[in-house]
Amino acid sequence: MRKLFFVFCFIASPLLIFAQEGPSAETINVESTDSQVFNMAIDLKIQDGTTAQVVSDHKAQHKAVSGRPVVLNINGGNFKAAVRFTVYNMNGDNLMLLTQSTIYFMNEGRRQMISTAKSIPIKAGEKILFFPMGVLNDGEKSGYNCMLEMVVSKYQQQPVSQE
Amino acid sequence: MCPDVEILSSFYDDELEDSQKQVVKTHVDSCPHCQKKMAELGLISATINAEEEPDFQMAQVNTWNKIMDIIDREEQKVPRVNFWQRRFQISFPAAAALVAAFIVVLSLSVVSFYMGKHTTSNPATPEMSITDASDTLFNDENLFDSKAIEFDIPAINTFIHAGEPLLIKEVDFRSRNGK
Repeated sequence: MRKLFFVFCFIASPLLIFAQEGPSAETINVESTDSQVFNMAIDLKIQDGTTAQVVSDHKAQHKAVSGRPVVLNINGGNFKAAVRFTVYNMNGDNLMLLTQSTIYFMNEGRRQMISTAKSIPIKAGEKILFFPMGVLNDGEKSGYNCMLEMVVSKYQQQPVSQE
Repeated sequence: MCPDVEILSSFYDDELEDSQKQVVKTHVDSCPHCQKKMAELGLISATINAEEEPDFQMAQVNTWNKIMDIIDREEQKVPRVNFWQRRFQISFPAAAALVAAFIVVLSLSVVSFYMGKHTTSNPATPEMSITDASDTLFNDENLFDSKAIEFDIPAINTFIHAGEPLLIKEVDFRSRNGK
C-alpha cells in the first residue's frame, strides 16, 4: 500500500509542476491596441442659474487608454473637485464610463466632502454630462451650475506626412 | 605539650617551615603519643594513595558498562524494521484531512493546467518598433501621461451644493428637463 502511495505521488508531482505553465491570460494583441485608445474631448462650462448663460468655458483634449483613468482637477471659488474618468472598451462602439469624484466644498461655513463613483454605458461619440456639484433645480437659480461635457470617441490615427 | 593534629599533619606532609619542622621533629622523636599519631597519619595516607586510582578507574569502567547495557537493552526492545515494513500510526481525522488536502491541491492543479492550456494565445506577435514613424500612437507622449488636467474656474463664481454628482447622457438630460 505504501509503495502504491509513493508511486502515485511520483506520478502526480509532474502535474503539480506543469500546472504553473501555460500562456498568461494577460497577453495583449498589439495589433488591436488602437481599439483600446480613445480621444476624450472635455468641455467645462459654468452656467448662470438665473440666465442659463454660459459664463465660463474651458476645453481640453486628452487621449485615454481603456482602463486607465484621466484625472481632472477643478479649482472653483468655493469648491475643489478631483474627478477620474475611466473608459472601458466593452465591444465595438459600446463603452463603459466610470466616474470617480471627490469634491470638497464649503456649505454654511463648514467644509464638507462628498465622494462618489458612478458608471454609465455609453456609445462612442455620445455626449455625456457630469455635474460634480449636482444640478440646480428650477427653484434654485441663484447659483451657478458646473457642468462637464464629454465626448469619448475612438482614436483616429493621424496620417503621417511623407517628407 | 603535644602539638595539634593539624600541625602534625602538616609536618607529615612536609608543609611546615624549617624552624617549626625542627621543633616538631624533636618533640615527635621523644613523644610516643605523637609517634602513634604520625603512624596513623601514615596509614591514612597510604590507604588513600593505594585506593584512589583503582577506585576511580573502576567507577569509570562501571559507568561505561552501565551505559552500554542500557543501549543494548533499548536496542533489544525495539527490533529493527525495514522502512517498507515499518508501521506508522496516524489518527483517522488527520489521515482524512491529508487525503482531502491532497485531492484539493491535485484537482486545482489539474484545472489550472487545463485552463492554462486552453487559454487563447495570440499567434506570433509581431515585434513592435517604437521608432516606426507611421505609428504615431506610441510616439504620442501624452498617451500614458498621468498628469491631471487642471481647470481653474474664476473665483467670482459661487457654487451651491445642489445634490450628489450627476452623470447622465445629454439626450437623457434634455428629455428630463423637457428641452
